[in-house]
Amino acid sequence: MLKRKTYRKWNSRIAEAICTVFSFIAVLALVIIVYYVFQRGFQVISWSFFTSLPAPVGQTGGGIGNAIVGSLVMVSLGTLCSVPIGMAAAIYLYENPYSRLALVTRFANKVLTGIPTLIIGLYIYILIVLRIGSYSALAGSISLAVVMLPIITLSAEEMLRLVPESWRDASLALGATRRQTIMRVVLPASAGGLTVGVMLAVATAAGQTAPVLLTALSSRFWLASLGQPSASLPVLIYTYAVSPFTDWQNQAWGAALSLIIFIFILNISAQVFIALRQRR
Amino acid sequence: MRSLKERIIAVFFSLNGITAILILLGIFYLLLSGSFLAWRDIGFFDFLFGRTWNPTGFHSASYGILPLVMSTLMVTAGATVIAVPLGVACAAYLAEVASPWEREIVKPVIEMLAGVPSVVIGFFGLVVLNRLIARTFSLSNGLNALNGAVLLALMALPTIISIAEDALTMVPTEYKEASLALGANRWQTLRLVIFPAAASGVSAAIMLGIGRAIGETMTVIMATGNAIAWPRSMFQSVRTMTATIAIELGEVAYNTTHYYALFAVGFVLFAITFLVNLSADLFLQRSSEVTRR
Repeated sequence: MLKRKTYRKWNSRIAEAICTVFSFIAVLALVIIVYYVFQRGFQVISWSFFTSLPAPVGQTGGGIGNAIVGSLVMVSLGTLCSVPIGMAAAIYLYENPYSRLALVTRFANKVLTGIPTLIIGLYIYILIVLRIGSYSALAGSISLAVVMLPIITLSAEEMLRLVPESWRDASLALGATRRQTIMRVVLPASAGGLTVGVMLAVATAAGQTAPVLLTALSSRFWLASLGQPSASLPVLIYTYAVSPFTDWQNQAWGAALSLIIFIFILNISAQVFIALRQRR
Repeated sequence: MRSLKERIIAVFFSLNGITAILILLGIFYLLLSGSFLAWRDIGFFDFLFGRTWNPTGFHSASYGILPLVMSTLMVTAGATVIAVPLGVACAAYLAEVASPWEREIVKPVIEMLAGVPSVVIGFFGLVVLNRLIARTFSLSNGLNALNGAVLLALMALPTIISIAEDALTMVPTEYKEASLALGANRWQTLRLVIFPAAASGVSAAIMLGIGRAIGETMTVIMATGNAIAWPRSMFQSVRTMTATIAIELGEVAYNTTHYYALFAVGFVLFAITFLVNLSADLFLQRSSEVTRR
């Protein structure tokens, strides 16, 4: 009897210990990567690293200024394209949750979030790059917009649904139209949540490599027009990382650190936002 | 007047909803139409079951996708074997074992790490894991399927953990309380009550993790060495479908069989990820039905 009892106690303890150890391994593995990037990256970054152009091939030194600008421009443009469309689509889904079109729309968005972003890059490559005849920052922005659109739409719909239904009913009962209710009551009430969704989408877009590689390619100069190929942080990391030059590989760590910090800031502020909302 | 305006605005909103549908149909159409041109030249069965991918062969080019599919499956299977036990255990830890403050630390850390871009993870594999694997197994280099599998496992982990944890916490507390009250210990409760009740949610988590791994491009390009060969072991360099498209699209001549063959590879990739994600979605639907009861 006693033996059986201790066995029962210990088998639960052991199982819990295994779960804990496995979680520790999972978290540790991910933390090691980030630690490594910080350690290697910090040796490289400096003010001029962020502001200057890459050095001509064959020379050491230079910076990643044009890649930072390219990434900022393409991610901003992508956000500008996808946020209005995504929000409007979310409002449509919120207002007609069970219409046939809404079901298909929701399904299409889910499929789009699941397909490899490489395929989105391939699509924009055929649709825009081949038609214009050149890789361009514009094509890069559009491919990022396509990556972001379903993320924004689905998260925004979820956020709109979190607004208490009684608020909407109250507004409608006061004689406001459905549109006024959405614009003046539901949207302001869910503004925080909508922002979080956009921030997470921006963080996702900023790290995209394959779609940008297939649409904007890269460049070693400042971005002069949207019709030209553009440098970007992820593509720069890739090309420098696989290059045979030690100097470039070191710079790639600096670029990786910059990109990670940018994405982490977005993710952390999104989580702080969520935490603050829950506390209220 | 007001109702007309309302209706116009309603149409405007629905048009925005249609955008995603149009994009998806556009992708489907372009991939499929390109694929048909490729299949006309190559032959559907030679494409799907051909054992050599050698588009630039000196005497004759061959476009058998099978080695690419096998490479993708091998790397993904490796990733799954690593990520599923770790991810599910971690979800169980977060849902059942961890104290509130432990959760407060572990959850945000995992969610943040989900944001590390694939190119950075690939870089880590190229530099650190490469050496580690080469030294451990005394190989000349560590750019192989194993390297890719470990990295993809790390990338799939956050997805698996967060969705599986949601599924576990969604199980009604009454189930757990009833089981504990009947004298089952926590492990028995977890294994015999909570996991079965959350099975479809956990399966969805695993499928979504797999879907993410199959479609991953940069990580595998940087970590697996990209040698086109029939994959035989985890210690061999492989080239996945995603890597093939990304590498060859830049250098292929427009309107050639090779060019369209890449579309066909894209179509197969699209179809596989679509099916994987669809099954995840079905699992999720079933899980919300179970927990709603």
